[in-house]
Amino acid sequence: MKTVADAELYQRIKDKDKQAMEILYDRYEKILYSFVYKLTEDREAAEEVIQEVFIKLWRGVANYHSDRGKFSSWLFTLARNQAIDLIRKKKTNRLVNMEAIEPIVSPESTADEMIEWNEEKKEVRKAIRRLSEEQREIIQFVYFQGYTQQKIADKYKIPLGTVKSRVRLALRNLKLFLAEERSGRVHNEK
Amino acid sequence: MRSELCNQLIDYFNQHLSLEEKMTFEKHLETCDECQSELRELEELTSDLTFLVSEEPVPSGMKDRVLSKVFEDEVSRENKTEKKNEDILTKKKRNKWAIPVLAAGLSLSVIGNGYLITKINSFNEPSEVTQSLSLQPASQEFNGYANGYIIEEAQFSQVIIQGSELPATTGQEVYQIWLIKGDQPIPAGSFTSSNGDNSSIFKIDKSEKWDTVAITLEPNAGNRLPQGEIILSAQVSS
Repeated sequence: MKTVADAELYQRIKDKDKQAMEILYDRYEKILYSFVYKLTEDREAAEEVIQEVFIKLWRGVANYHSDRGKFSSWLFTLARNQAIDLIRKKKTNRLVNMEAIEPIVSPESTADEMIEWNEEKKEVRKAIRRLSEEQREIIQFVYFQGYTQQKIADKYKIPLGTVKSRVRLALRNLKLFLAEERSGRVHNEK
Repeated sequence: MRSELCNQLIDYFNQHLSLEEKMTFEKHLETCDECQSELRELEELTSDLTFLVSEEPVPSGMKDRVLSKVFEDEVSRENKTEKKNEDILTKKKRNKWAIPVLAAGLSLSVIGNGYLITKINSFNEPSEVTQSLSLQPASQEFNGYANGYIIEEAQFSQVIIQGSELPATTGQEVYQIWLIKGDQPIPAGSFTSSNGDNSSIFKIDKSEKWDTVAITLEPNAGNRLPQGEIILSAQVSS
């Protein structure tokens, strides 16, 4: 069965196609929920965020253009922003400390095999392991823990002004390694 | 265009900026190509990290709850507008009533209005509203509305405008409030209708007389004259 591309589903959703919306929802529900749960560590909050994201998608409040990169990236960004927004607003005991979240590269487990996005996860994991420890940590501190620039500067004892470029360098290396991992996968499948 | 503000990119990305800082940065973003492309790069490259998360079981029934809310939302918004219009036609103007509980978003715009914060947050002594306004859409397609409350103090009047169901603004757009005397609009407060920022409070000298309060959607804050069309308005009795 041929699968419909995300970008096409998005166009149909803009035309108020409920079926397209449902397909997209099914496609992204698990990973979005897992991601948002990771950020908020609260099941109700995570559901609230998911709801907001899909409402925004349906209402056409947020806009995706294919020149803005992959649809999945855009959707993850939307979800992340919504999650952080809720975290900042709620300030309940459980949500306030985004920074306390454990960094994410945990040991592999057999449970991983069951994850829908297991292939992508393996690739990203391999790529991220090729980064230096500092680079590996720094991008996770930025993305999952939402560290301020100052906190990163303090942690690594680097000038505030260099934080941004260090993050950028780490991300560009990640991109390079990830591309290599992905092209490796294409060759294996052939 | 590069500036000191470029260094705020990461803190902006992680929503650490105050509302004012955020608006200033977004205004900067409009004109800074470097920041725009860096932000895009940050979003695109970090998003792959999302795949690192372990699977968390989804609460049962979540799909139904979410999708029914998503699809229901459309219908209920239409119904609300109809009902609102009915209410306006039949409602008589009441001269005095206690201020209703305003949304949490109000707290964002009362910074610097310490006096009013005390009054509004203390529910034991509700302020008496001298006049209430119901701002109506200029065009039939428009779904949002706004309420206004005027409280007369000794030297000045406090005006609170609270928007409802207004589409969130993008970039540096704001909903700008204008007080109009004859054909002369004077800018008052503004809000963005995102992140709960849907109201504005400002003080007016009591000697001023104005006959209409209106809201336009401006491409940026700080315009001295309206660029946008009026989307909501109400007449004010002197």
